[in-house]
Amino acid sequence: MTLLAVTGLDKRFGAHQVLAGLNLDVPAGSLTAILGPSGSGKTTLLRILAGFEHADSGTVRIGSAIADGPGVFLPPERRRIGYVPQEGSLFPHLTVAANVAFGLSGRKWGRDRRSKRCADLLEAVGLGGLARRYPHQISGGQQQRVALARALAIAPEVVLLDEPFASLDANLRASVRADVQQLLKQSGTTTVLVTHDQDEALSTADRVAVLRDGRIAQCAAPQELYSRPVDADMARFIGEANLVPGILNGSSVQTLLGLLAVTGTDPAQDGAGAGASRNGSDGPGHRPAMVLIRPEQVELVPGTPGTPGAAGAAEPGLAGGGDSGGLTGRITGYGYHGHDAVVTVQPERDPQGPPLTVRTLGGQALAPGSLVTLRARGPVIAWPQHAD
Amino acid sequence: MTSSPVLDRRGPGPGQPGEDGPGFVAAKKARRARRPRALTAAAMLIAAVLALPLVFLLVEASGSGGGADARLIFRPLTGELLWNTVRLTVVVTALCAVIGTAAAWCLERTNVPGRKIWAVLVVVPLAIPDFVVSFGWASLWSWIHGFRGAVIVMTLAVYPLVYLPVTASLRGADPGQEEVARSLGSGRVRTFVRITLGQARGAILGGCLLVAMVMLAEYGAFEIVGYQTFTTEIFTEINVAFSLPAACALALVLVLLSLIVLGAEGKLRGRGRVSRSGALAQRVTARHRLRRSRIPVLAGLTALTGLSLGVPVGSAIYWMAAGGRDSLTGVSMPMAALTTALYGLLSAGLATLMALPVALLAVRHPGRARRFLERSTYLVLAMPGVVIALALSYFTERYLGGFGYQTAPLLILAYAIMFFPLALVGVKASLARAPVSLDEVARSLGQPRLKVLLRVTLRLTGPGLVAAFCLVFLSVITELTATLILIPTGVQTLASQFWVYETNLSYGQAAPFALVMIAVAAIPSWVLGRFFDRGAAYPRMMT
Repeated sequence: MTLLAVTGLDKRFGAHQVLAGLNLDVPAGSLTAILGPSGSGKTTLLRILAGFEHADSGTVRIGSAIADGPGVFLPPERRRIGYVPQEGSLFPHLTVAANVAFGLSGRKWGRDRRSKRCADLLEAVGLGGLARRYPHQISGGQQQRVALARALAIAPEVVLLDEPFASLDANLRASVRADVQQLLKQSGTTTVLVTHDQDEALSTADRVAVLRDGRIAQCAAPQELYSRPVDADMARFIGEANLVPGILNGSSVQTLLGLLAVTGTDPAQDGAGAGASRNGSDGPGHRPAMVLIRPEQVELVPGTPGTPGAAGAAEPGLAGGGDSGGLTGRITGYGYHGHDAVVTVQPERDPQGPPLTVRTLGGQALAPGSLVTLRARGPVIAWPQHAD
Repeated sequence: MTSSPVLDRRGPGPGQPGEDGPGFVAAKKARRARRPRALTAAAMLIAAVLALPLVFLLVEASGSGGGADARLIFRPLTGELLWNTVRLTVVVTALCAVIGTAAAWCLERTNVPGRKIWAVLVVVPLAIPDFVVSFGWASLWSWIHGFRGAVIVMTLAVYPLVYLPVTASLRGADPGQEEVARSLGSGRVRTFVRITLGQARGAILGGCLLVAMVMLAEYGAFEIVGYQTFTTEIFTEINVAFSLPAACALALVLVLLSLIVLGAEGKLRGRGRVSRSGALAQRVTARHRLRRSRIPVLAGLTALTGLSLGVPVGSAIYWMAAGGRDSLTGVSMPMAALTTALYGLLSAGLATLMALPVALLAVRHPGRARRFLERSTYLVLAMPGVVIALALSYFTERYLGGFGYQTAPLLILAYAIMFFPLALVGVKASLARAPVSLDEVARSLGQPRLKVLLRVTLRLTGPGLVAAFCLVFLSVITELTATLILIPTGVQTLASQFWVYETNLSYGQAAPFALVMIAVAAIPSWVLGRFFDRGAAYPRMMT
């Protein structure tokens, strides 16, 4: 069930069009990340959802109610949206407990129930002992947790998190993020998280919506986003990508790494359908294409295929249906990361072209300048290129 | 983290958003963000009221035909007044800058003994009206006279105007900058000149501006030491020669001078902006440890407070004692005190109220047109009290046939206009403490606008608003110039009654009034002192 539905949202600040016909559906109970570079309009989107900004046109629907639409505007205090801003924005004149209880005022809540709920929430975010402290007396990570507890107190329909971990240092960030994720999952709260951090989006969210040019370019599960990006730009934006030209023929593609199997992209799963080209459909015969090969899909062995005793030559079971002994190349860069290593290789056959990036398990030390053999494992993604 | 029933989504709380009908608010003009119309209208009205005196002055000038005004302006007297006013302003401003900055540095950045007590004593002279300081000195020593007398008296009376902002700025400054400068091989003195003074530069300039404006506007203190400036001459033209056209002509020159001072300050300040990168928790700068220099620093502070505080207070006590029983024969004291308090409360309230919409617009709804509106109110700064009083009397006489002239409402309005800039500064600073993001969070937590105002905005801005109110109150109860021109017949305030006795040379009877004014004004200045103290502590709370 879709809890939050945004259709055709436009927003412009002066001459700058920030959002242009943005569509987004957030299923109930999901944790959806809005991922985009700074200045892409993520925060503007969030502020429109919360009711702090008015959309120029388009509709925001929360549950069954229209929150922002032609002639309708639901003020923020009636949207039941929990908002956690980047800085936490705790009320400096109130204690931690009073901050959490802020939204629980009114006759509906007796004093006892209020303090009970407040204590329970603080317990839930792991800050049971800090109720009487003031915001300036607790750490940044604790402030963020209080801000979250405060937002959850009103049992919101949706929680909006605006780069909530950006102000925390790296060590703290991972642990606070994990705690928050667990808490939100437990409570089944529908969450929208805005971030520019790819790792954060991929590791935290169930669904990632990539914001590009004022609209959602793709919205999918993290795995889907990585393995089936809608276009080459998306492939480059999410993770590292080797984009090589190829000739598409039915369900396989011929590249300089050999003949590779192609996965069919299910058109139904295309996110916002932002002009993504479908592949493997009705294209007759051989067609030029752009092929995505992820660095971990490439296997690297030292030496050349012709070298007697080269490990690669004896390697059994070449995956991906390569039609040759592999591609020979020269190492131009080697970045060691412990668990793995990222190697850039310049193909001998194409010395002017872009180097290929290969991810290997970190065992072998490879000297720049040495010759290696590359083999790719399919299946890969290919986008037919329009002749122009 | 443990699982907890509170996290159940079906937990208590209102139902679906918008389920209850009134939640839908039909936006009148399709999808435009709410513009603060009422606020803008109120601010425009206030700006118009503030501009009234200047408008009257210009109307008068154009009405009298350029010739008459030119004849009144271009005469030897004007040149003499110009020379008197400018040289005094320059000398006193420079002295105040040095004394105020030095005192601020000693008390903020060194471990001089008794800092807390000194910090209070150094500010108190601000609470003593300039004409009382002048009276204290001139009544004791006849050589306190003319230029020399005016320099001594005014420097001692107004240096806290530099001290206060510089203290606040030194306290709020980033200690990291000084440390970095030292680590880059810059010595103590060099660091002080290039970094510390650089950080305090805006504050020093701001303080100097205030001093210069006081110098242009002061009447009583100069009258007592017999030093003639534009303001004293304008006053004489109004109250003694009853020549409004001559007064208006001189007032034009005085307004021009004030505008020049304002412009110069804006230009100098515009060149360097002090920024503080990062909103990290603030550290406290380590204090310089005084060793041999401790004695001269203590001697300097003793001399400063002795001359600025001891002499006026001592002098008043001396005259009261010398007057004996005669001092207290006047029955007018309680009545004058009551009148003064009433005027002070009303005009402080009015000024604070007037400042609110303008400040709200400036802080919360930035935009070019609104910024211009806010800036326009600063024109009031260029109008000394004597000019505002003159313009209002001219207006009542010319257009209302004398109706309203020398009535309490007109006087209160004059006070509110005069001290509007003070109120605006205070209100703006206090609003800056309640960032919009807090309002937004509060509203997302289901609190309607009005409740947010009560529970968040006013709670955070309250202390600042009180401080702004006190600042105006303090200024009103010690105001003399406009009071003497506009006060209703038969009514006396503390200041005007003091003035009556002083000009009659009844020092014994003037002295109790001086002491009461010092005492009454000291209370708001104590509140202000606390406000400035907290002002430095607050940024730490905000992070």
